[in-house]
Amino acid sequence: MPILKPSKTKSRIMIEFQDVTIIRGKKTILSNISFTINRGEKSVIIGQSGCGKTSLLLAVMGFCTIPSGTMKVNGSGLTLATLSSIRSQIAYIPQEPVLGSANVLEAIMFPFEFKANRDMKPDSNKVKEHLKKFGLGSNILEKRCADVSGGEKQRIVIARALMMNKSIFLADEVTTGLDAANSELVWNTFNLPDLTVLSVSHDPLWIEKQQSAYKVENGKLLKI
Amino acid sequence: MGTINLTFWGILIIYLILLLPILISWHLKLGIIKNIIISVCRMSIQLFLVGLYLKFIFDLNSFTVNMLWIFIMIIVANFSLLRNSKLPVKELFPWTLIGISGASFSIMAIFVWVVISPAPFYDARYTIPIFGMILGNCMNGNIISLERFFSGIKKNEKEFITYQMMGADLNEATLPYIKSALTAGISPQLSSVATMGIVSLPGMMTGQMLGGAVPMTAIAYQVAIIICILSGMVTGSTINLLILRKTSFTKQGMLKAVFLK
Repeated sequence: MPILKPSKTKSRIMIEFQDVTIIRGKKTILSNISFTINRGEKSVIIGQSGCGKTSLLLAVMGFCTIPSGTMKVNGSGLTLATLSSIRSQIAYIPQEPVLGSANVLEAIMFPFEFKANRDMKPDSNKVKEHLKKFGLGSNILEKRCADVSGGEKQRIVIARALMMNKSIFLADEVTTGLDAANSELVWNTFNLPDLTVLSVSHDPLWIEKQQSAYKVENGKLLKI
Repeated sequence: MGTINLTFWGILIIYLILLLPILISWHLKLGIIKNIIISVCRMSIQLFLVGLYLKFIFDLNSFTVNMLWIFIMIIVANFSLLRNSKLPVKELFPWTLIGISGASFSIMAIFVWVVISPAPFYDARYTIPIFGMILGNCMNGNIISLERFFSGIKKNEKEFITYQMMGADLNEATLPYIKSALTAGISPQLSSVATMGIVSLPGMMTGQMLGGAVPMTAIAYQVAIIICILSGMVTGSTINLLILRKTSFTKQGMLKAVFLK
């Protein structure tokens, strides 16, 4: 496979799959799927539980075996050589956000302890500034993560991802278990013009807000 | 001072005590009567055979035979470790062999060959039982640690992926699971050690005293063996976890297909 370097120019198409087959473990999950997601687009994948929606998100992040087809993220082909630079552009937000620490401030600083991010460590003003954009006061920094609501946790991890300059968000059932008001807050957080969001959801309110939608059925991906 | 032998009738009375767990299991429908009977039968036969071959090995007391016996013990322990932690035996056998044999053998060598220093240094009476105690406990610690490590990553797959998506390399992403696996592996031994002498009198010490050793000699051996067991467990599990971290993941950072059954 040719080694493709990540594109330095801004590509209009952020995620592109052409005839991709996805294997997890030894099982073929999806066959010959094709789709494109443009910069700033908000797109959702629906389908029954266990049909392969999360596997599709994992494939975008390079965690699945791809025996055939081509995958591109922001113009770069997804190969072992480009994996780390592609992952550096993507934030993965599961239903139960991974905070990584017991206290909110420590949770925000958590990824900056990794070798790859140490030189990006934000100062406290930058942290407060980012939280403010998402309607979170600086008093939340002293709270224990266990005392923070589900909606606030989602907003904290999104703010943290933006501090790491992530521009593609893969959101896995992020509004499951949230009430309508918190769900709306999370949607407003994602609904920024520069953010490309590919989500998996069963939530009708979330689905109807998206610009495009796909359905996974019988190992195939259908545009709806 | 000799040990009082257990007579046939004495042993029979001991076996009759087994009726208690069997009756409890029958009454509460625990479904473990068969397991109790099979386990006790296996244990009795195995120990009877051990008695026979240990007598043979002790009488022979040959360096080659002792080393061969140690080699067999390691192979059986490694096989048992992988089977009990529900890991693929074929793929991991050579890797876990390194941790379990390296840690147990080197610690046994320090204790028996350097500290006790019997003549000859490979004396079967010291080398075989002490190596067996260290190896057996090292195996038990490894079973818990390795099972906890792989099940932790499988159960928390999304968390593990998120760490990597946040920029963690494989070493950084697996570190929380390694820490939790090592703690889980050592905890049962640590709690037992902490109450030793108050709640329980450990097996080696009891055995030595029944065999006629003075209490202080028995205690010195017990302290030494406990330190060797703890060190063997932690060292063996750490070596194996570090090796498996390098060999069990794809280049993309996922567990290899063989672990996802």
